[in-house]
Amino acid sequence: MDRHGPVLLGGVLAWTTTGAEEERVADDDADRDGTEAAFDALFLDRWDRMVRRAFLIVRSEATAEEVVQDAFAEVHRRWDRIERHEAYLARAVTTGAIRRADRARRERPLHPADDRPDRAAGGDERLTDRLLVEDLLASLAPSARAIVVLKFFDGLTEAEIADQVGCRPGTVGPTVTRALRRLAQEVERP
Amino acid sequence: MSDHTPDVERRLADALDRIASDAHLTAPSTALARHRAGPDLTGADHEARRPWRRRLALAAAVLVLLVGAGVVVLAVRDREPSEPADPIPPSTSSSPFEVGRVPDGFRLVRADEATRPTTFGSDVEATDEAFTLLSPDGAVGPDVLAVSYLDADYLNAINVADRSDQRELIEVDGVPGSWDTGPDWSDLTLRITPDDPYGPSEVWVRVSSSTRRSREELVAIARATPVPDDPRVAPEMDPAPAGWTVVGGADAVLHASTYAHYGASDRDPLGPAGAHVQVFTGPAGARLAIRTMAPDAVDFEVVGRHPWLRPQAPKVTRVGGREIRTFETDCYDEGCTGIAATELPDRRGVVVLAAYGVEVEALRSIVTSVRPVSADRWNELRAELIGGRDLPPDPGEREVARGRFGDLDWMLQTSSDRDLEFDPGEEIAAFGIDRCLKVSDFDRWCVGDLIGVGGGPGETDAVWSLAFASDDRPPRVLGSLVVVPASVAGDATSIRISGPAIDSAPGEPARPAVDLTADLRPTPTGDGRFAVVPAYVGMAACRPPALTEHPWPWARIVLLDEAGRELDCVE
Repeated sequence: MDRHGPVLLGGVLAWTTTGAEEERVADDDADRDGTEAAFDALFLDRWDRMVRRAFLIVRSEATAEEVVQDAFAEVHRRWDRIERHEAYLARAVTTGAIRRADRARRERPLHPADDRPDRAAGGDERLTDRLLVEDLLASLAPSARAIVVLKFFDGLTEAEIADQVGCRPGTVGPTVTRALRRLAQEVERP
Repeated sequence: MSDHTPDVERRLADALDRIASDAHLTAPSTALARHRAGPDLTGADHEARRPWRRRLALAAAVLVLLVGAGVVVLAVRDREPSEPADPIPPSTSSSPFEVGRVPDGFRLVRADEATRPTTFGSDVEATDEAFTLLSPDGAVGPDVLAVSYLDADYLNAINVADRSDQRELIEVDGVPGSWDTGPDWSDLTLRITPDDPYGPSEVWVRVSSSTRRSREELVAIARATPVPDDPRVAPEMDPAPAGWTVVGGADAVLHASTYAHYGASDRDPLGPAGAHVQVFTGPAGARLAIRTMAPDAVDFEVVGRHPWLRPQAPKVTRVGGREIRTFETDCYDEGCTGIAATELPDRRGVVVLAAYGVEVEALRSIVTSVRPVSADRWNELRAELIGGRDLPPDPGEREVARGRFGDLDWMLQTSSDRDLEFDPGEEIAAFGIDRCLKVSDFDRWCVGDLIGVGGGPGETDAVWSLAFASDDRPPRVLGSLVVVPASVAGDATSIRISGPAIDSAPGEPARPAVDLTADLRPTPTGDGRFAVVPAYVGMAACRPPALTEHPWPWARIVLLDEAGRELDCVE
């Protein structure tokens, strides 16, 4: 936060500042310290969860970290204009991850539609599930992937998902249903 | 839905937890320290900051691609030659061109002029670095130095330069740097601009020796390297540092263009401004990008000599009775090839190719089939991509709307492909409308994924999305397509869209204030109405959201009857 003119000039002109101005400067410093402390707390609290969410959407650890770093930078920049910082952060991470995933998919599609995942040797259900879910994620458009992640990884409601993804609430249910149907077909496939 | 849904839901949630838990992530405290060091304003690809992970990921990705392909494409086919080469003057820049021979199964998907200068110095393999080559006597020999600029911030400079994973962090008179050596090489990075933790103006230099020159020698070179006006251009080492002579240089854009992971994208083609680019796609994700550059774009004696890049000499190869001189990149990705070659007749320019799934022998053959053409012929070629200058519908489709955005004409057609499950625009295709506009800039502008997608057929929501055609961040937006199901549209014959100006937000374009009306037309399936509007609509909302809380723009869409009376607000 910028200081006022006389203070910027340092000690030489500091005697010209009024008591009220000094108080305001002190308040500004306190505000800034408070903002930074609050930002740090948000960062430490939400970093890990947000990166993991972004990772499920973009499927790249480094890109996920970049998305979240950018979102935090945006929150930091707009801190004074945002009321619900955590909600804003979550939206920015989700939409940022969708963007990046969309771009990556168009640049280098990796999963031909007829690609089918291998099942885990020995019938390990957990490993098979993982392979199937990874394939499901890869097959979904980034927006649909985000909806599935927010529903089943973050446990959000349809309204919350719509708010964070930036879609209509009516889009969430059908997307989840179709994703589950697709997964169920794979699970039941011999 | 299946009877197994509850079980499937549980298994899905468990698997997501396991996948997310296994991600190797930076600790929050470390990430916070990185944030404190300054946000990344460079746009650098952070994939490049994870050298080994990136290599493995790329290798795995391409392996999947190639296994899917089953083969590496070798066969090429001759295309019908166009008219005899036009009288084209020798060029000091890129020539428009056509390709006489392309691999079997490949299809032209883009013909354009390059719009994207690469990021620079952010790739661990040094494939995107502008560099100047020095040697003791000015000749290419075993003892050379490459001097290059690295992209902006400290973390990138250190991580990108982590050649052996054992790099030593150093300070030279208080200036940060790093130092690494191997049996027959040494490598130094050093910041050459003042500390600028919150700005993109920091510049680092890397000096790479092919003979394990000493740290002191490399520091002296780094300090003699000027702060650049454009770090994508090879450093101007004039005068050359004592004891060294400049051999030549390679600019970043040229250098990166030969590597598939930069050069083979079909969106916003990479290259020097004005370079002509054609991109083809082949089976199972194979790609081929061909670009022409100015005759002096490539110094063949220098471009292959960066000590990090398995130095190689230029080659002279006979292809079909003709000799071509090439620099052939030794890609680090499976299936990745690239070459630069002098081939255009009368040395009108060089040809640069980057590909996945095309062997280098095939690339050489393709090079010899590249012919310069006139600007008119180039535009004919581009027009063919969209069926012709008149913007006709594709075979089997019919036109449903036509209009103009500024100086661009557009045409919207039907879509016979209704099965776009999970693809961007699936909701629009369900109404029988194509998800892309054909536009007179010889491109197809397609709806973006998600931004403002509403409900589907039978639901009581408007469906709308955006048209965009770039991977810019934020994307470039041409206009919006608004679709209203018949159940919502009722007697409406037009819509009014209004919304405030919005600053650019993460992943979102800035938008001027919008206030316009547009006629609603029936959808091809008859179960809705649509309008194409020359504005970025963003997310529809009947009531303005708290703007500071929403990182994306919004607009209010109101249905109007024939008399212009407001019927309803849709969202």
